[in-house]
Amino acid sequence: MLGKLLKYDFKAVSRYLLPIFGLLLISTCGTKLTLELPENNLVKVFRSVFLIAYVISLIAIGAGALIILILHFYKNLMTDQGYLSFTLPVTPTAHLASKLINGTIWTLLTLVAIFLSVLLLTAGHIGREEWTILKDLFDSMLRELHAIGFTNGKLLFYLITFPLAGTIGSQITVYFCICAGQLFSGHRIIGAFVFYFGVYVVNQVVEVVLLMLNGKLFAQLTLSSDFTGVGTVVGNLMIQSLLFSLLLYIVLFFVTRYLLNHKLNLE
Amino acid sequence: MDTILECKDLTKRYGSFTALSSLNLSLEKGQIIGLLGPNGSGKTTLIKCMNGLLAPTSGEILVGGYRPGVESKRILSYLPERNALPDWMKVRDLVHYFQDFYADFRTEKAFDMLKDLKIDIHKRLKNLSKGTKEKVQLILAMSRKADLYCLDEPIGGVDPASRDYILRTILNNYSEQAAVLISTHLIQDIETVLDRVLFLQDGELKLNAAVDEIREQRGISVDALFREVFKC
Repeated sequence: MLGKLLKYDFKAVSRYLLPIFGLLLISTCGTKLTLELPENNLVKVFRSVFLIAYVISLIAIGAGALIILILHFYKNLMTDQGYLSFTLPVTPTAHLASKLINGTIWTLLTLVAIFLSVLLLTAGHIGREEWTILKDLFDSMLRELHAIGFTNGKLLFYLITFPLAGTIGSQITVYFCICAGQLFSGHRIIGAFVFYFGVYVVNQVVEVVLLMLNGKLFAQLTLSSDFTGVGTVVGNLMIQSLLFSLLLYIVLFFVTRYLLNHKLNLE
Repeated sequence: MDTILECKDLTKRYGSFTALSSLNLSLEKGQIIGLLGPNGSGKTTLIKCMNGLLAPTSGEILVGGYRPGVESKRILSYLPERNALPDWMKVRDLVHYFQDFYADFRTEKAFDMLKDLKIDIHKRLKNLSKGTKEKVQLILAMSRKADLYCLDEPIGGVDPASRDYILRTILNNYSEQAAVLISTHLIQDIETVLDRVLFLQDGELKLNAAVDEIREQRGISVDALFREVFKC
C-alpha cells in the first residue's frame, strides 16, 4: 500500500514541480545557446530573457519544492481530501512515510537538476587552467580539513547525513506543526505557526547549550595553538547536534503519528 | 443474522459539549437503514467515528467486529457529504485510484454507471458541475462490494431524475451480505427504500425501529413521525 500511496503523492506533486523543471531546462538551454552564438543585439536580448528565466526557475525550484510538498501534505490530509485519504485501508504511518519519502525523492531530484543545469551552462567555458585552479583550491581546502582531524570518511559522512537529515527533518517538523495545529478548533494555521515557533526555540536552546559545552574546550585548544584537536571538537559538536536533531525528528514523527491516529479532527 | 455495526457506550465530547452520549446500537446486515436527526444531533460525529476520522472519548465502535482501522476500512464504503476526491484528477484516473486501494472495487461496474449517467471520464473532476461531482463520488462508493455502505447526504445536491437513478443504484448494488446506512434530511425521498430508521437527538438514540413497524403500529409515515418527534 505504501507503494501505491507514493505513486499518487508523486503524481500530485509532479503537477507543480515538473513544469518548474521544464522551465529550468528551457532557460538553461536558452542561456547556453545565446552564450555560444556570435554576439549581436538580438542575441543579447534573448540572453537577458533566458537568464532572467533561469534565475526565476532556480528560485522556484529552491524555495518552491518544500512549499509545494507542505501544501500537498496539508491539502491531501487536512482538508476535504482527508475524508478520502483517511478512509483508505492504509495506516496513518504509511501516509506519513509516503509523504516523507516522496519529499526526499523530490528534494534529491531538485538538487540533481540544479547541478546538471550548472554543469551544462559552464561546460566548455572552464578551460584546463581554470580547472587546475579549482582543483588546487579544493585540494588545499581538503588538506586544511585533514590537518585538523577531518578524514575523508568523516567528511563524506557529514556531506551525506546532514543534508539528508535536514531534508527529512524540515518536512517532519512542518508536518508535525500542521497536525498539531488542528488540535485548535479555530485558527488552525496560526496554531501550526505557534508550534513551529516552539520547535524552533527548543532547537535553538539545545544548539546553544551544545555550543557552550564544547566552546570551553574549543577555547582552550585555540589558546594552546593545538589545531589538530580543533577538528575533534568541531566534529563532536556536529555529531552531538546531528544526534539531537535525529532524536527530535524521531520524536516528532511519533508524536505526529499519534496525532493522526488519535487526535484527527477534520473540519 | 450478522452484526455489521456495533456501538458500546459510544461517547464523544468536544470540551464540555457532548456530541454522542453513551450510544448503544447494533445493526445487522441485509437492510437499508436511515440515520435521521436534526442538525447537531450527532449524525456526523457517529459517521466520523465509524470511519476512523474521529476517536471516541470513551466506549467503542465496531465495524464487522473491527475497531476503526485498516481492516474496518476494507469492508466499509464511505460517501462523505463533501467532495473528498482530488479534483485535479480525471474521472478515469479516479476509478483506477479506487481500484488500486480497494480490493473489493468493481471497475467494470463503475465504468458502466458512469456511462449510464453520461459522465465524460476523460474530464478532470474540477471541470464537472457540483452535481456531477457528487454522482462520480457516489458511483465510486457504490462500485465497491463492501459489507457496509455509509452514505452521508447522498442525494442532497442532485436533481430529482438522478436522485431516482441513485436510489435504484443503491438498491441494486447492495445484497443480503451488506447493509446500507444513509444519513439524510430528505426523508420523503428515501422513505420507500428504508428498512429501518434511527432517530438521533442530542447525541442519544431516540428511536431504532423497522419502517414496517412504524407504519403498522403507529399508522404514519417515517416523515410524519420525524416531524412529530422533532417538532420545534
